[in-house]
Amino acid sequence: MALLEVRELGKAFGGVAAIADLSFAVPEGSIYAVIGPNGAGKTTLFNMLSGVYVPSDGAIEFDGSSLAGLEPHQVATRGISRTFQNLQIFFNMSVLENVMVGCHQRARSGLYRAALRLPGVVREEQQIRAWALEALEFCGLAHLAERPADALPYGELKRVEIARALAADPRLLLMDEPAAGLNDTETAELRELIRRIGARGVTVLLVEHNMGLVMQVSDTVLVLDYGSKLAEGTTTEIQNDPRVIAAYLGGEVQYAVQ
Amino acid sequence: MSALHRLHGFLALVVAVALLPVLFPDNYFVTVVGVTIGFNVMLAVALNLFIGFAGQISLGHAAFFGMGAYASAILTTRYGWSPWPAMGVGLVIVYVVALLISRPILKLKGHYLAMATLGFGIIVNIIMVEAVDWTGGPDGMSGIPGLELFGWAVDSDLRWYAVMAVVMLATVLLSLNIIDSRAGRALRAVHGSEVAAQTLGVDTARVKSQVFVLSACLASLAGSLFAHQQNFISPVSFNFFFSIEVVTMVVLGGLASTYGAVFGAIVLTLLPQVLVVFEDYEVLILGTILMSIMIFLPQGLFVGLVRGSTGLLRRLRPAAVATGD
Repeated sequence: MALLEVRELGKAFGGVAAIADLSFAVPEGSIYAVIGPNGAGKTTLFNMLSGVYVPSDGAIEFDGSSLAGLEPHQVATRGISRTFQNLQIFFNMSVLENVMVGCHQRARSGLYRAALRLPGVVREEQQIRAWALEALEFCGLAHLAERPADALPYGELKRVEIARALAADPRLLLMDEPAAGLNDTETAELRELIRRIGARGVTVLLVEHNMGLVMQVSDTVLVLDYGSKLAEGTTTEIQNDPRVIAAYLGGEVQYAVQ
Repeated sequence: MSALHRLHGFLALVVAVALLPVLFPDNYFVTVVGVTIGFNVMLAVALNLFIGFAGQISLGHAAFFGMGAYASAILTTRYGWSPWPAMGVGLVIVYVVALLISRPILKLKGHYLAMATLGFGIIVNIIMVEAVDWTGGPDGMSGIPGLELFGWAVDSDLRWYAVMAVVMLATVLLSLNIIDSRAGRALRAVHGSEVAAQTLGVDTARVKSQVFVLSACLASLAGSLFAHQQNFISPVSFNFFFSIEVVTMVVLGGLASTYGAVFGAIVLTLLPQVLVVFEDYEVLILGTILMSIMIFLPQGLFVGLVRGSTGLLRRLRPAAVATGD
């Protein structure tokens, strides 16, 4: 059963199609990767899935219902979380507080109740803290909880974003180039983390340039080129697909392969 | 973090505010300037929620302060209302006006938001000057009655000090409560990264609107109290320059710090009083001080001093260990 279904999706910016006629389905519980050269439309796709961009054409269905017309915060409450290619950390907060914001949609109390600190608010606060600590623990960041976010190195901040997205208790996690800028050790740790996220029952949609990582963790790979689907299949199928090899390595190599 | 630890600073503030009039019951700076400080702290703490924490800007907050003051003044002097319902009506008016303008205005960011709020503040001030039949125009309104609390007339400087102390401390507590909550983190998230906040389920438009309205309502309450305390108001107290002054208090103390806003309000209220001895050079010295702070302590005086002193302690400690060897 597909958790996410994208049908004939299109997005144009001033007449230039960033995504055109794209259809695919992400099965629940799978790790699904989207790859493609720079400018293939991967981030545009993510921005549409998370409600940041409004599609020009087509439909996105999540868990059987359409996401059309939903604001990003409404998409989030449906159970879709994301990380960003360029870090979007709240640098004005501690690591723990960053992840506590991730729990936003799992709690209720608003501004006025908080201002008066009614009894329910304190209890909810403890619950949020527990959720956030659990997410930090899961990502191996518990020891950094009280640090200000701006005191952390890049690699750890990338994991803070993952912890923050997981704290929302999502059904689908969109990861936008999580390995970008990481060294080999950090990438290996990330690989394990993605596997554990999958094992936790969270469906993962991964956009990534690091082919090693993609081939190691993914169940299915979708290759985008110029905003359209070039190929889709298991990692083995993709690795042996001549169209994919051509798109990545250039036309000459295609002849060589043939 | 325990509840007690969270409120250490607040308890210290309560003690200081309570002790000052006991130690110096006849001191001008305590009982007269102190009341003005109370109003300014209220305004700065309220505005800090919007500027410091949510990362927005408002250059028109004096308008809400003025709307509260004029609502109280007009209803009590022209219609014979008693102060409390008048204050309530002022609050409702400001709530509705702030709510109505918040959605369109808060779609704007940065300079554009600054211009929009600036325009709003100036328009409200022009109405205060021009609607002579209601507001008395540039001459202002006099004869505004004082306050009475369950038969206890607030009719002396010391009593006003008590009232403002309670209201001011309540505002500070409110701000502290908000910051350390789900709603407060959502506010700060809007400042940190609006798009990330949205994708985590924060309705950023709503959050900004809510805090803008809350901040305006607190300013309105301060304005109503101000009218009853002064017994006289005129548009000058609510003009563009006062809006800027409140922003300066927030920035001076340090953005995104409730105590910073308190500190900024205290300093900026006291400084002109102290500098009066320099007569003609007062404005010059005040300007120089503000400029120096912005250049050397851009994160604000309070935040800068706190960080500076902890940094100094940290540097002194290894030195002490070294000499111990």
